[in-house]
Amino acid sequence: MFLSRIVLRDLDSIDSPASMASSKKVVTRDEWERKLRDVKIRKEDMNRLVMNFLVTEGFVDAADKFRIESGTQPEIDLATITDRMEVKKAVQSGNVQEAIEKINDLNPTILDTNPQLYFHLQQQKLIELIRAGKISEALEFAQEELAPRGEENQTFLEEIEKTVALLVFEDVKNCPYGELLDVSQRLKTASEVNAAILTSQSHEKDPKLPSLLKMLLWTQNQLDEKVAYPRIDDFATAELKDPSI
Amino acid sequence: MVANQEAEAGSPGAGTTVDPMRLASRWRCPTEWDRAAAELDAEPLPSELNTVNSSGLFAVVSTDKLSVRYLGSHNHGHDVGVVQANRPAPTRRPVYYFEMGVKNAGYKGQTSIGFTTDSFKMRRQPGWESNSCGYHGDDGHLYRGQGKGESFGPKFTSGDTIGAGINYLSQELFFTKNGSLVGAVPKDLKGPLYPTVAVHSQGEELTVNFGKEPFCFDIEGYILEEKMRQQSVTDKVKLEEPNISHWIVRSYLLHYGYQDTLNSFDLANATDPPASRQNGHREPPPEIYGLSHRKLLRQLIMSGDIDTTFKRLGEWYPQVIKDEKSVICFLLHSQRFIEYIRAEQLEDAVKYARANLASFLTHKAFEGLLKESVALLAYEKPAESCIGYLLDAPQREFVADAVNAAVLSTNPAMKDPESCLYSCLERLLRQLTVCSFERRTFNNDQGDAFLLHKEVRSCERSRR
Repeated sequence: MFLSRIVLRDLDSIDSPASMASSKKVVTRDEWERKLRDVKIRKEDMNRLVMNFLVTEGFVDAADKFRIESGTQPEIDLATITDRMEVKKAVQSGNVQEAIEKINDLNPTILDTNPQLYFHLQQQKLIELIRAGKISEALEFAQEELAPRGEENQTFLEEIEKTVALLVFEDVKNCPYGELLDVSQRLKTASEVNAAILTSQSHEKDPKLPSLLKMLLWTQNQLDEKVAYPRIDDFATAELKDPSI
Repeated sequence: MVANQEAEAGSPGAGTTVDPMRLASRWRCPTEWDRAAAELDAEPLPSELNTVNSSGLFAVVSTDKLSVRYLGSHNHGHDVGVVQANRPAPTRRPVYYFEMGVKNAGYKGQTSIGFTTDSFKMRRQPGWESNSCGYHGDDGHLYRGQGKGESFGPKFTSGDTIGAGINYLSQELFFTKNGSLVGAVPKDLKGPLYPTVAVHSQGEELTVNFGKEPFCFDIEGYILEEKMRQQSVTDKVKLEEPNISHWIVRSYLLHYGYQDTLNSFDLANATDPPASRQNGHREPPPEIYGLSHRKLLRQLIMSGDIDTTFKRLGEWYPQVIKDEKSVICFLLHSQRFIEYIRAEQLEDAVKYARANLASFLTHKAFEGLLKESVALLAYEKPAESCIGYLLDAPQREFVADAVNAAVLSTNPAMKDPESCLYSCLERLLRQLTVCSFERRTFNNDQGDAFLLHKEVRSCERSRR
């Protein structure tokens, strides 16, 4: 017996707006718990979901331990996670040149096929030069490497203008584009790099679990419109809440 | 004592204690899993043209029931040669689609394709009557039950392949011509919808393809795109705690006693930039109970050392194996037996089974696993037999998970017995599955519903 379904009563009455106003059908806690028990979930599928999270989020050691402890095979070679995390870390700590070299070691086509990513890395490099106060180096780099790209692409040009503006302000706190110097800018570039590497490895760039949680929230909200049933509001405890009648 | 326990176990959801029978009910052989998955979404599909309900006066369906030719004389609007499929379009899927090939556009080229219902007048063009819809070849118009059509797409004629589909996700009907999407309109038809084609002048002849042949249109690509569009809708939902996934993964590792993984996970979280990763300010989950014991027990079972498992359980959690007729004892004994088989110690296996397993034969719930385990004896090479899966790691893991749950249930601080059986992650996934199926039921059974197995497999498929 599978997921016992509510017997379709009068479907038309469910569809018609008139019945929407009347009281919703209620599924009691007992009934709902029986349905929950009837669901068939494989342990190995849950393990794979957890492995997918560890791999995608870059928990290389944990993924390796999980492989041993649960016998779940990772979706990609774990060594590539280490490389990916090193690139990410390099960007996060401002070593953009190192990151670019590492990306090219990993797969030279990544930057070739992602002009936007390459531009953002170059932009980040300029930001780091400005942050370090290397003004003449920054100017040279902007003129030689970045300016030609601005000619190709209007969005790039605007980004270059914003970044170069940082040079003009002695106290960057007053600069309207000061947020470029923020850690969040590094994290943004780092996550862009991370996604590009994952994509190049034919791996989804986001872990599955968060989007399943969103799907749960969305589905619960949709079902709310039709029926009163025990919801889970706190995902951390996964406790059922009695249906409000 | 035994009878008492059985009675308790027999009533589902009984009392406050953990129902041990539910541990056993989790056990399932792989073929059973596959059958279960297939049954869930199984629906009869349209496979051929209906020769009983069609307008035999005006058209003739070929003997393979996959093509139709006009027979009438085309005197008026009520002598259309219209044919429905033998079954309505299935609904428990994201998209249904079929195609027709115009073999001969005949004298006037009035072939058409669309959807109609049970009560359709079988001498009219689809779209001419209310609650029907049709894309017509002679003018390229779409007819949706109104008196006249609306301009929609190109005309079509001999040699063209025309497709019609129902998108249950977006609630639209869509049409294709020679592999390209022509357009889509809101699906405002009610009731089971039959794939329908029609011919209406001398010489007109059509073939239909209900999926037996490859489609001209890339339907797989279309479905993938639609599903991604659907996902982008749900992805817009904001979770209250963006990092809740970390918490859930952590509690999963705790629940099953994957302690080494947990330690690495915690270490990485501690050293990484704090802004991006935080577990929030939460109490540690109750599953910390007996963590290192549970880890060791799991390791023992996963390595096949059941004797030591019994010994350790006797030292640490004697109450778990006190009742010799309990589910846990049965699972451990049957696993011990399986390990003898794996080690090819058949005589020991038989001896062990006589001493420890025979008494369980009277238990209904153990029957399946017990019978299959004992059957291993019958094969010269049991690993290659149809029950060889018993010798695989997942079977050990199944036993390890059961022992883990039993140990968790000895926690005096345990409030909710469910939490011994199911991790937080599993409860969320069960809720998602039920909600998704219920929602589909309210949606007239339309669309696909969430199944973890499908989801996990699809992300592996897309990688290839």
